[in-house]
Amino acid sequence: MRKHSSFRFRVCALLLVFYACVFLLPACRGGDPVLYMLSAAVPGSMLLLLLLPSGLFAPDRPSLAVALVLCGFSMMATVYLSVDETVSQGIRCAAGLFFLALGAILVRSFRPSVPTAGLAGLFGLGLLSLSLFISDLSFSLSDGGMALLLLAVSAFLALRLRLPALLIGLGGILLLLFQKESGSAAILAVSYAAVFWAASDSILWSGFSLAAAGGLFAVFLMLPGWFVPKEPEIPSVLSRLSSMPLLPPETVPEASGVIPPDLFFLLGEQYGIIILLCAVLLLMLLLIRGASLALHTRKSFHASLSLVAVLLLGLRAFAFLACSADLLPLSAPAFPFMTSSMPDLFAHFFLLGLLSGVSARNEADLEEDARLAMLAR
Amino acid sequence: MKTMRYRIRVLTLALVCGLLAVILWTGKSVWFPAPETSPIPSAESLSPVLPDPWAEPTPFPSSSPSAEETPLSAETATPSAVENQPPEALFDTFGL
Amino acid sequence: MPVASADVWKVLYTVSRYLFPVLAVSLVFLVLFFILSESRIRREKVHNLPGSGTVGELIVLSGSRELDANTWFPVPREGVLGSVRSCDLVIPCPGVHTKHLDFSWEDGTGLLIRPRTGCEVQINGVPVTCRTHAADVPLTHGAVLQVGSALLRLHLFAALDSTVSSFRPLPEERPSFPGPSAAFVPDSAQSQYAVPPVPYDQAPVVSEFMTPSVPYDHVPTVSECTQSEPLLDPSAIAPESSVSDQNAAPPLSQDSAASPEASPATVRRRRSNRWKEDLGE
Repeated sequence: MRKHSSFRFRVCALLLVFYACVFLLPACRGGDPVLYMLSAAVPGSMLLLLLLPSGLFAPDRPSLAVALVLCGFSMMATVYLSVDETVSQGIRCAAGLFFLALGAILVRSFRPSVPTAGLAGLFGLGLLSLSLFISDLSFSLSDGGMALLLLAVSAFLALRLRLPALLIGLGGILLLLFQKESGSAAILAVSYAAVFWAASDSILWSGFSLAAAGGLFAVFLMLPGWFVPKEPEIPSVLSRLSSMPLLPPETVPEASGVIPPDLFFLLGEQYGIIILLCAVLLLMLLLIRGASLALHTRKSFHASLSLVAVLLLGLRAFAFLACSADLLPLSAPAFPFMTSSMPDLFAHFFLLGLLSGVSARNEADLEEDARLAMLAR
Repeated sequence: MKTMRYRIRVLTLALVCGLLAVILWTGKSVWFPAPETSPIPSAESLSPVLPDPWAEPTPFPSSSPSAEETPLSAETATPSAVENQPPEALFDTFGL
Repeated sequence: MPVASADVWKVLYTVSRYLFPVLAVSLVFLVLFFILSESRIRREKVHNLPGSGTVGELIVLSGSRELDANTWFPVPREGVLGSVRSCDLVIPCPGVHTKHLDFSWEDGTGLLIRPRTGCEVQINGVPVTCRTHAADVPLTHGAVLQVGSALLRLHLFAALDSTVSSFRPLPEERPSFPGPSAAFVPDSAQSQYAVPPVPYDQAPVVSEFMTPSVPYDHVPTVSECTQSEPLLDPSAIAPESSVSDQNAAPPLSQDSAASPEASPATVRRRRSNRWKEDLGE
């Protein structure tokens, strides 16, 4: 019988109290029935997801808890400004759970082979190149494309086919560079080189992949007019941060018609810097959990998948913080799970699904070992 | 797999340290901003150049031009406003 | 819907200004403890399953000065065999490259071996290189693997599925094993172990090192593997040693102990001390 951690129930209890209070407080002020509904629905659905039996839906509960908390933060950011936006964000997060299940099923059923790896790679390249063919596309599918591309790279490396892995990765970087998405291209290049280094067991190939990715960047940087540094924000993020209080402000911010796109700093303005720090720390815990899952796998392919998820989420958070603080002259990508962009949110849930699938795989391996040990007695 | 596990640990550690470094740097920039350095003042601007009281006074034009109407040229521009004042005003300035 | 008065709401909001950050920080700590407790539970499970993550063991039939005979290595499901410590199986013998071969377990087939470029191994006396064999070569229960000057025999756990395909030599060409004390000079042309390969799907489970009383087409059940009757003839391995209870201990059981406490006259089996990290720990 599987042992359950008592901390799971404590986390659930705290989530229940926290999010009930978060939505009840503005509800008591205006009497909005939607907010009363949210104060029951949000913690209730979190409880349901975290306490579901493993046989029905086997997510990795610690990482799912982190993702749910971050999604809750993204809803909190707009609760005083626009209830409709809060509800929309909740619906987006709920829809993202479908991609979590998709990622988990993919890991359990995907066996690395040349056709499946090639198919995943082609699909990833297709998602990355979509905006080249459809010029008036308002959203970017680069996150999802990168995830599929790195999945294909991991599969090829598991099959010890380094050349196709190298070509597919470089193709993805090239597509992003053509579309002038320098931030996403940088994230893909670093993740791809790191996965190559970890999984290929060959210093020569790892060095070559890094050199090739760096070479592509150098070529495009030399093109006149390709790289345009981002325009400085007014007000700058650092000045916004300096004006943010540690605790929530003394007066409730009034609802205005315009909602800033970055939910992360909006949350800080509504609830203080401590909440922002907690969000970043929670993401770091998610990365550590992902790495721990990678270390406990039996197969190098599953370890690569976990590493892909950890790298994409972690580098995205790093790029967000670094670009917001003007450390990098690029436009900041969205913080994981705290974005109103549906494709990005779905891609983050897909990466979480990869982690859940690997965790389920690890548990299944342990149970098989226990069964074998029982048979041997 | 042993090598792969070691490399995964290294990469995760690098990622977490990078995130912590960015957080600390941002916090330091917000709460301990670097003071704005002002340019070192030159010797001429520190000490006002007083006219030689024993020199012959230069005749003033009939209408004293205002600063907006006649912009000072490079040769006649002086860093000190004292020189533009009439000699009598100089005594008033120094409380004499 | 109920609406709080302005004063009451102001008090609630003032309380929430301190409550929400405290709850958020508590959440962070709870999630951290959650992750740590899950890791602890997993570590306990792995601790209670000593052979967890392994598919069998490789027993050294002849090694070198640094690698004693009868040392055994737990074989993980995937890894690298070589002479450096960064490998999953460390064989510090002459002729073994730093990273000699890759191995991976495949259910229904066995332990697939792929020698690296420029490295040669012998499986039951048959030379295998990456050039001669395009696909991975399966190593099954009882097969003898020769890497450099080291001779290793694979014992798979009996409860695994892929013990069906195994190698069985013809009786008249059954090799006489000299024992670990004899100096072993690998010579593929004149090797005593160069027996003709039998198609893997025609051979039963039992290897040639089983006692003669056990018929060759007898598939050992799990209960037989855990009995005290020795599964292999110790005289075939070390003619000077007597049968020991330790050898009778089931090597195919997943709970096999690590440290033998045999009398000096018995064959000692020692777990390799180069297994630096266990799977899942």
